[in-house]
Amino acid sequence: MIEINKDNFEEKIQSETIAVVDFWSPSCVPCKELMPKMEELSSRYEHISFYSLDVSKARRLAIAQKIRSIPCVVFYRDGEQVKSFTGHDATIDAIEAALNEYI
Amino acid sequence: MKSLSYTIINWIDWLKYGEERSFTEGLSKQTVCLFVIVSGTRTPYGQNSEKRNITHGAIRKEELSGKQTEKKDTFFFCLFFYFRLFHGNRERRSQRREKFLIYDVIILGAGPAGLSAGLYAARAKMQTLIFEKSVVGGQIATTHEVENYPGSPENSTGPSLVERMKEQALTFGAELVSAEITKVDFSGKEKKVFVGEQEYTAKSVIVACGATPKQIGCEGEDEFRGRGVCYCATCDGPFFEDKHIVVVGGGDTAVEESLYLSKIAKRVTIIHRRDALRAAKSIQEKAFANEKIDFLWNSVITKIEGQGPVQRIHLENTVTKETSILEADPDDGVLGIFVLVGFNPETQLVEGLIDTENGYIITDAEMRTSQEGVFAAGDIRKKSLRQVVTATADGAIAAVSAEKYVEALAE
Repeated sequence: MIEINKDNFEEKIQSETIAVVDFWSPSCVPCKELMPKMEELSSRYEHISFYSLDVSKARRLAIAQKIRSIPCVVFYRDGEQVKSFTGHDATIDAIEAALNEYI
Repeated sequence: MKSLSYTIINWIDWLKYGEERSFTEGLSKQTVCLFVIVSGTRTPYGQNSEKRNITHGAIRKEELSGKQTEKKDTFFFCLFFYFRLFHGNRERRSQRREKFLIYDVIILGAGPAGLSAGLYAARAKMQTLIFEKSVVGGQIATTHEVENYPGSPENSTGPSLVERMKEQALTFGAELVSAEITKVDFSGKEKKVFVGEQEYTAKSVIVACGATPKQIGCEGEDEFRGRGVCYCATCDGPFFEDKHIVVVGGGDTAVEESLYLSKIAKRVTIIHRRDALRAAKSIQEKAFANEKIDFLWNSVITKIEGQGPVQRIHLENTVTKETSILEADPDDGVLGIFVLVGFNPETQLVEGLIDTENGYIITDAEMRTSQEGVFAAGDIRKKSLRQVVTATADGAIAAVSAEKYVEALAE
């Protein structure tokens, strides 16, 4: 998983294939629980781009992406949101199932 | 003799590198080595310099495909396939071994109750396995301030308390696994716990699954989840910096988190269905003294609305039944709603297997449930006070009871 920030976010999500972004922040404990599972998932799907974005340094960007609750994992295609998982819904099983659906 | 030494060299080579080669995947190493050695001594192709140069993988392939025509080899073929079929590969064997490992105690849940039980059990030298499906620490992992746990330093946070509890349990040898239990079987002497197909066995089980946040249950709540309806103040509070936040609930968690949110938001409104808070007096006083916090008594939310984010909520007075609407500040364009209305016990897994009352597990003072060898601890239990301190106390008692039970089994 690659750490991105507000400056290179737009560029990274402009991909014809699925790009997966994990929005997190240092004060969010559920986010930190999800992170290693996402790392593991990304190592199994090497051909998919996995990014993590610290929203405490990019709050405006997150809000512009209509994200007001984390952990939030969003799937992008051509820069458009196609699927998102928030809070209790952001389980690794649900994310992997959706990943298989979109790739 | 040349061919014999050649195969032995191959054998050693293979022991060193065999695992990495795809050709050998799934083959039982020793079995094939045996075959190579035995058949090698009987097939004198070692004289042939051309064949000596080919890789040993290829030699084996050649042998296995039966290019060596000696009839005796058929016997070794049979021997090989016999071993291949009945002795399986290493991975399968280790899985089988894992399946037969019997723990002294399996603890379901790694909140304060589960971690405390894990600490006591591991200190008693019991083989201890703790399962957690989502967040280690449970509810306190998402609570900003925990000021009522005895001995906690001032301004100690929920996550830091959890981290210390976890480290302590692991130091004494408890195992912590992040997985969701899908099924349990408490009927036999050996208690079984399933994670999908994987089976774990223990002599005793401590159920410490805790409770999950309750929802309001009003129209629009699910629709706006993650778009203004939140359940974790420390996670999502910062999204509502200098905005108006509504907190629903009147217990310790609701009021404590309102105090935390008041540092971020420009205004916090606590909506409570009664006319008095349930929270501890000391935090109530802090909330009443806080200029940013105001209250809407005897009120419930009936509907959440908005285009995009949450923009307005419909309220009903529980006494007069009057309805009203709370709009987001036009400058903000968004309203943050934090739902902190209490918790539901996580008893789905053990439903019907042990006695419960209103969803909470009934135990005696030793934390024994209606099922022998199964104990319960923490918020999942039927009890009068659900706090971190009572959860950890439950965990300690449950672990000691489980230890006594396991010892009695051995006698």
